[in-house]
Amino acid sequence: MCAACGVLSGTPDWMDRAGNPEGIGGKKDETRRGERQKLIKMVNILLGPGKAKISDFGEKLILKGPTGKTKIVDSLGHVWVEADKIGLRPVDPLDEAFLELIESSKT
Amino acid sequence: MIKNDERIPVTVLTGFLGSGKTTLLQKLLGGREGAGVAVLMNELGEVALDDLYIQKMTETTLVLKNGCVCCSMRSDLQKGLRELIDGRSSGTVPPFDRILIETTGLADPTPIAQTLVGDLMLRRQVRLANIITTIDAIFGAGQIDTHPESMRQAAIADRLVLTKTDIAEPEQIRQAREKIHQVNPVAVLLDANEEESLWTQLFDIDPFNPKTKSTEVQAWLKCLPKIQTAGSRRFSDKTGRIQQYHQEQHKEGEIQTFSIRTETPLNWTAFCIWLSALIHRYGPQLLRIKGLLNVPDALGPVVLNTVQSHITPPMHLEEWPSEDHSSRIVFIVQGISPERVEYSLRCFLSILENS
Repeated sequence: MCAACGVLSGTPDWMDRAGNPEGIGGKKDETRRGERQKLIKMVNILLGPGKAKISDFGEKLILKGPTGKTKIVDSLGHVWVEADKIGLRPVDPLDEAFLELIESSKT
Repeated sequence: MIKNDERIPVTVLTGFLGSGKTTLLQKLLGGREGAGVAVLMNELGEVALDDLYIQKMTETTLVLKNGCVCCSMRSDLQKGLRELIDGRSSGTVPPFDRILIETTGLADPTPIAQTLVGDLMLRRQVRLANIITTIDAIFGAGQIDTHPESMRQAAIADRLVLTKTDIAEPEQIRQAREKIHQVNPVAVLLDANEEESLWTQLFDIDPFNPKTKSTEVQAWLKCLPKIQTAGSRRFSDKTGRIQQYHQEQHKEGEIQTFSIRTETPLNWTAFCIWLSALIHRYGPQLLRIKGLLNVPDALGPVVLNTVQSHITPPMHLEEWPSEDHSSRIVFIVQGISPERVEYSLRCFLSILENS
């Protein structure tokens, strides 16, 4: 377990819906892979200001920083921890400047 | 989705120095049901004598050495829990169906929750139950004002037990209740001397138990109108979707309770990304978050419950408690602006769900 984010390695993330007995359930035709692609797309918007990016790596994710440094991460909680280390700008949901950046990146 | 949880519930009993934790414990363990409770206590000078008394009452008491259970002794806590569980299995410890951890008077109870989920072996055997905080009716209001530890203990609780009401003046009790309501209006407030159903409220019902989640949600939902009228203000946002209808400023300016309500069903992935990022960055300041969420395609209304960085797997109710199907989230935070939280959620949902 990551002490910093409270995420359990190797267990379904609390947010996963497909194939997660502890999840909230959802569309029967939604696959874990489909969920993951949505997640990756959304998270990459947030990692954009820090010039970092995640991509699918089976049951894990690969985080790539602006210098090309990569890190394999288990879950969303780990993404934030590692992105703080290798990204140029941390994801801070309460930082208005950060929110403006991600908002402008969409337009 | 888990419907029954057979893991051993772990109740956390905390409260400021001299607030009556041990007296409450004696009262609870002295009853018929007390025989099924294993107790983990930490040893500081303050409680050493109390330990002796408690041990006379229950054979299943384990005293942790070396100080405060909340910070320096997480490994000791893991070890103590394992000893109890293994001892029960092997028959060296009398049978029990519940564990109670009593913290020191200065402890922040939240690392205990982290310990319970952080140990994969323990996580399969135990689960968090209520966090109970005792508050002295005579000195409690003042302690909350002057001691940050006391304020955090009150803010983080599921159950607040007002003690010494039999010797306190009515005005002192009124002030204590008022202060408690300011700090944590969504916890169940009990009187240690009057509550006949003390055991039921403290042990039989808790927010992390799939069987009692509905009762628990309905209890805090009932508090929402009270929160609204207590100095609330209402403002509209750009999209009109999310309205924060309560903001309560305490004179300390540190701990605040507020709620966010949205009529639009929540995009689960976008919401979880926001919550995860918020908890990563501000976990220690997010004392409690309780929510009832309308998530499209979920099996029912989703119950959210967090204690600082600890997120329990969200559960769902079989049906909505009322005709109101809006998502409602209550936050108890320290040093975070409610406006920023509301604005942040609105931005994340708007940006991510349209991506």
